[in-house]
Amino acid sequence: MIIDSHLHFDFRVKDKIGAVEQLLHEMEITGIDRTCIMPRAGDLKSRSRYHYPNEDDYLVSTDEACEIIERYPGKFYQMVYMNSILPVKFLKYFTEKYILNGPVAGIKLTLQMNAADRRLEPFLEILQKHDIPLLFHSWYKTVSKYRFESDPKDIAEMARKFPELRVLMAHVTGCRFRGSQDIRKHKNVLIDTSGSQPEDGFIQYALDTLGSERVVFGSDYPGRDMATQLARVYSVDMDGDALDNVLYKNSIRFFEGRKKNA
Amino acid sequence: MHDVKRIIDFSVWTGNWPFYHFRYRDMDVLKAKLKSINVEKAFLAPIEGILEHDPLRANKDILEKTRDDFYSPVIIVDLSYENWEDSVDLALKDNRVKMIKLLPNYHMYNFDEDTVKPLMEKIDGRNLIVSVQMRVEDRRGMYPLMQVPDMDIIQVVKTVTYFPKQKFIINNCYLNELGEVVYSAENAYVDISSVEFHNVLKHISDTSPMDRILFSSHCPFYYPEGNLFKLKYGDVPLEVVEKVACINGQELLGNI
Repeated sequence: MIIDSHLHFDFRVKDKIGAVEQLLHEMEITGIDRTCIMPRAGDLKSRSRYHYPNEDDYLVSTDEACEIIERYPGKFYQMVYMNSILPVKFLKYFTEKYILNGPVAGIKLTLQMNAADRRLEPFLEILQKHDIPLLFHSWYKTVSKYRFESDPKDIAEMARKFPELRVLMAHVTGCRFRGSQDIRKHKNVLIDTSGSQPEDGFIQYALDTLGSERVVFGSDYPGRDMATQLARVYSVDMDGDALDNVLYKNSIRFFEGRKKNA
Repeated sequence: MHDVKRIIDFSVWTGNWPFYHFRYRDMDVLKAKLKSINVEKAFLAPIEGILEHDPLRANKDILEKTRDDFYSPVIIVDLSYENWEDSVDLALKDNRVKMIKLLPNYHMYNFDEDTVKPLMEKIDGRNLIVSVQMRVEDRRGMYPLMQVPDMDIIQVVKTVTYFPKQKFIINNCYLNELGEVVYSAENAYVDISSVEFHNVLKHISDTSPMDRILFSSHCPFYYPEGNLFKLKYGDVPLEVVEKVACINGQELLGNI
């Protein structure tokens, strides 16, 4: 079994069902059974393309995404690409409606606020309290750094403040060796295998530093090719248990592992 | 899934890179790995020729270390050095050498018609392919104290079209750059090593002619399975996969 823990899907296309079917086709070719799927708020009916989508964008687009995704049971873990500057009252309402009492599996955070920003703490408290999985973009960059983009050390600082928060730090290749070291002592942080070109060495380093229980396959589709990114995992010598951890067991624990009554 | 039986790898490297200790840096280890994925022939350049002051030592070294015909040694030429012709002469005197490689952004010269012309005159009629390296690493992940810009594909296409009889390979293009080359420069080929997008081979075949697309693994910077999987899992007919894996390369080598 293979689960892709890091996949974006562009719901702006006219034929959304056709696009989902094409994604399923590409998954089948590559042998991927299930994926995370992360529509952006502005991708659906609201059409907002601003950096900070508003509350209506989320309500409209999440309803529409849920409607499409529920046609394919067992195929997708739906994540929501959340704008973390929205009022905490709304973030709490959204969490209760769509995650605690709905089909959404967890939250993805990226460039709206840095992981170490104190303003993010109330939302992180909600996520930690309810044991909601959080996928967080991260990348050490020599050039082309985005405003508010988190370094792995920012993820580590967040994990220090919220030691029970379950975090999947994205992009092992972008995080480089230093990123694996940054999160080493924060056991609540996993790392995904996606990011950049098929550069060699980063999975092995992450496995040596973190262990196979903390490394999770992700492709970063559609900007990346599923097969090329999957090869990153197969390029490393691992025993069967370690390979199973990376390819799907860690994903299942991450996406489905929410404690009951949390 | 395609069974890819024969591959020509148009860009691999050997040696030490100061920022990472590559697992396939050694020629024999690299050869065993490449053979395991059905590479029959690989064009091998010396990593030390990228950063050493004057690549001549590294060029001599790779000629000495190449012992069989699995590898075709690639000579790195730094056109900013007064002795650049010495490296070219190494290539011209050794019939194992089919390709020379230019890294203008690492060696800090402009890749323009005037700069390249003396080289073109020297190798005219000598059946050498000229590789132009767009990049070696993703800039975002470069060591912070050593930042090397990517090549400008617009400049590259302009320059190579000025020498229409010369065959070029533009290595490590990104997807948008691949289109610029195959659409506008009939004497230039592109490798797939850094071209990525979902369903990437299908995307290329839907948008570009496939006659000048070649396979490169860019190993040991890249794990070779990454580019192998572009072929194996390519959502295109086997004939298209075979063109990229081997046939286009055979035709290029037969025509130089």
